[in-house]
Amino acid sequence: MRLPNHLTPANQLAAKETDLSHPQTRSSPKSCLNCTPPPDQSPLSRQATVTMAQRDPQFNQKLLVDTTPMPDHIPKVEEIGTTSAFLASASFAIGARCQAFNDDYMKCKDEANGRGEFDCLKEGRKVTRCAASVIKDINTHCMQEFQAHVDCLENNNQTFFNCRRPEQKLNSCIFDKLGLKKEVPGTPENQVPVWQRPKQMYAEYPGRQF
Amino acid sequence: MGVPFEALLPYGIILGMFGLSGYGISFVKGFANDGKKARWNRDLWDRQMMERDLRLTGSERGQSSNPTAPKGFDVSNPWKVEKRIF
Repeated sequence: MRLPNHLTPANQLAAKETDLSHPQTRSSPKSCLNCTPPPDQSPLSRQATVTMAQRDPQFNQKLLVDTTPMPDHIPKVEEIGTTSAFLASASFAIGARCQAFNDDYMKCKDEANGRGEFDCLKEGRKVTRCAASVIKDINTHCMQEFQAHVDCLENNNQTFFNCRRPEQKLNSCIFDKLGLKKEVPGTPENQVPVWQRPKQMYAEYPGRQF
Repeated sequence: MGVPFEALLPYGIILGMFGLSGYGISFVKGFANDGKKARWNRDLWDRQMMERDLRLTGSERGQSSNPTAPKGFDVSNPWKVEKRIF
């Protein structure tokens, strides 16, 4: 099989090498509960704080539903009711509009020494409101493309590389109507980004998708 | 000289049994996944997102693009309780 120039393993390795040799990526410290990460870290190389919530429950016997509402002195925010495939489909638009809020929230959690769930509620409300605004806008302006992409995702185990054709339509609609452009941070600049290549390496259909 | 039809009966039974079980399995799988293709290779994130979909839509494969959650969703998140071992 002949690969296009930008897909050769040597080039990919070279891209990885350049990424790894980036000074901020190399000096990633061990994440811990009771220490603060160095302040000059970029959001890309940051490691998440290890908490109990990130552990899979072992041998859990029952569920405990605590229906106590939030206390009144905490301002209310409406939770997002969008389900998994719609969220995955809208994720890059959310990232494009809400990057500042999201980075702010993650920075707050990193600097909260494991108390981020309590100390970063204000930043968290901003994240929720911003994401809800993006979902609302896509619903009003690009509902058909949104639904088509989600239908494709749902029939392909929610993998993006099988659904590039509806994704292209959704991306162009979102860019035209909302002005949000899909970008993946850290993508090598001299290559066609993977979501714009018509042939996808591991897709079920090996030919051109669009 | 033709083959007597009794010689073909076992093949008919084999075909029928495999066909029945195959149809049954695909029917049950489709019923459990709301007529969509089944998910595979799910990790912790996928599993908890499917539980969240169940809380939002009433079905693990149900989807909704509603930006605001229905009433009571914010307090319906269950804790998975483990027994103390030591």
